Amino acid sequence: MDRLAIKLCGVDFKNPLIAASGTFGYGLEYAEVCDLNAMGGISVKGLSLEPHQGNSMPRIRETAAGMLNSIGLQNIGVRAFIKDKLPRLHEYNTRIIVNFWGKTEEEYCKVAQILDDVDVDMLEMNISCPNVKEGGQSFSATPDSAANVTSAVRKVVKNKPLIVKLSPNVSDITLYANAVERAGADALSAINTLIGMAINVKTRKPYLANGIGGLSGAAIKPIAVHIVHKIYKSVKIPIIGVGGIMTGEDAAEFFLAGASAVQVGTANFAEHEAIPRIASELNKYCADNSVNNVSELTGGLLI
Amino acid sequence: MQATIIENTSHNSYGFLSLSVPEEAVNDYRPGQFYMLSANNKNTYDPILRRPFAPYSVNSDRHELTFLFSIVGRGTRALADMGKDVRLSISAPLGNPFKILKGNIALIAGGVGLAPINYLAKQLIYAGANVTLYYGARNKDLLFPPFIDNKFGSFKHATPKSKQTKLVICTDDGSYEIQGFGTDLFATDVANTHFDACYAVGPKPMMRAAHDICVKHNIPLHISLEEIMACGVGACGGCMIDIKRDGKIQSVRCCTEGPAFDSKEVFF
Repeated sequence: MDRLAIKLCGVDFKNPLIAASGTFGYGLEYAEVCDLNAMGGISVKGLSLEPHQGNSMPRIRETAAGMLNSIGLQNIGVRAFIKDKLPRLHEYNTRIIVNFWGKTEEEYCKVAQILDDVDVDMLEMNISCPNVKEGGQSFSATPDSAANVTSAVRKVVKNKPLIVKLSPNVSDITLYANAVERAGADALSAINTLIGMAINVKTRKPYLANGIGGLSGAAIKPIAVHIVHKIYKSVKIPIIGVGGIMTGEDAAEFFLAGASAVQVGTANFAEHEAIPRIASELNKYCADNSVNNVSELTGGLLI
Repeated sequence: MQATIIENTSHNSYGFLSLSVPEEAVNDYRPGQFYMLSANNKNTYDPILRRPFAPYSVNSDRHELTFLFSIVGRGTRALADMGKDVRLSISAPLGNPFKILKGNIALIAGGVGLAPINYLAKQLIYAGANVTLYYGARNKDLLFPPFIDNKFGSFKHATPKSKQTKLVICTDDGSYEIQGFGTDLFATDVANTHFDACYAVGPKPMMRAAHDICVKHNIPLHISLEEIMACGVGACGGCMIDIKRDGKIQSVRCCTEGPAFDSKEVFF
């Protein structure tokens, strides 16, 4: 599948399909049910400095062609990941992207600093979480707040490409894309989940204990494709498209909109072998359409 | 993996689905494990998540699985509406299985909890256990008709090495056979019969009643818990439950550390 081989921020990927953070655990959970060697990469569950418990149950609610989740960034912490998970993940031939987050700018920097010195391929910053030092206001509250945390992290990340994952829950995402590009991001991933709510009309309460959650799955794909296209027109750095990809043609849509690689999330739940299947479908799409390499599709939308 | 529907029938509020599956789907199955089944229309990806079900029977020679499920929501309704020859996505067998114990075993199944208990019973009988199965539901309509019509039928052909198998059927309202809870009938029998172990699958109050009886008589009890799941492999964090283990409360994944648990670990 050489036509799927890509280079992203100097890193070679055998194919452009990456498991989206939060849907693939630390990768190892899927080792028995999916061929990890067939994946372009895995973006592991978002890591924080210390282990984090996450939200109360219920944490997931299925919706039309999608789902809401409020897992609450539960994770084992960056040090336990490096010690207990990473060595086993290295047994597989796939790129390792580490997603991370913090409750304060200092925490982001500490996690990033630790990860900068370990054997992983790329770092991906989640900037959609609350800043406890700013009264719980999101790091994505304004383009400036997003840029500030990005540039702080950029200063400590010296050895790895830095991806910033953008929240779609903002008025104009291109302002954020531009701001974090200027702050030193090497790539963007878009989109994170869309905030949503589902109400049990019998109890008159939200289905999720947290009240609200992030919407993902096939339902959000048109929104994600549109956002990737908007961002593509306003930045120079590569974009990793994510949101509702279920098939090879869905992935091709993101490339045409402007993506240089894609992430697959909820589809991994619907089918554990989704990514290897989507890779072979994308390969067939390329072959059928005389595309020698998938990167030729990037931004190929005709309008 | 993909499975193909051989037969799909409805019995009152139950769906009964037979699937032809790849060999690797049945080879390593152990009682208490579950499969995730897709119920979606391939063009719309709706419903998007697969549903976890413990199989009612597993035929590893013919690579066939059957599932008994309650038709309760849009996923199970969509699944019940699927026709013969439809192909659907199925996972590998997932989760922590029951420990297979020997001796004199009590099985308690409530409602759709019959599904895992039915296959477990068969395996226990193969392993040489004496099995007494208490199967109850609120009323006759909520008993799975093919099972009660057949009266342990699936076990008759199991060439049991065991000395005895006994089936007790009851309904809360007395509309079929004995009136009462399966757990009450078990409690009565426990007074005169020695049981080496018990397994119970059904509504939480039923499993709690079984737990109380088993604690009192010092009988190990294994139960199966249910949660809404997305991935089924321990990656998503959607099915966390609190259990008591190693002297402290731990939050564990129902799909991976469970669904089979020692009842002493469970908060009822």
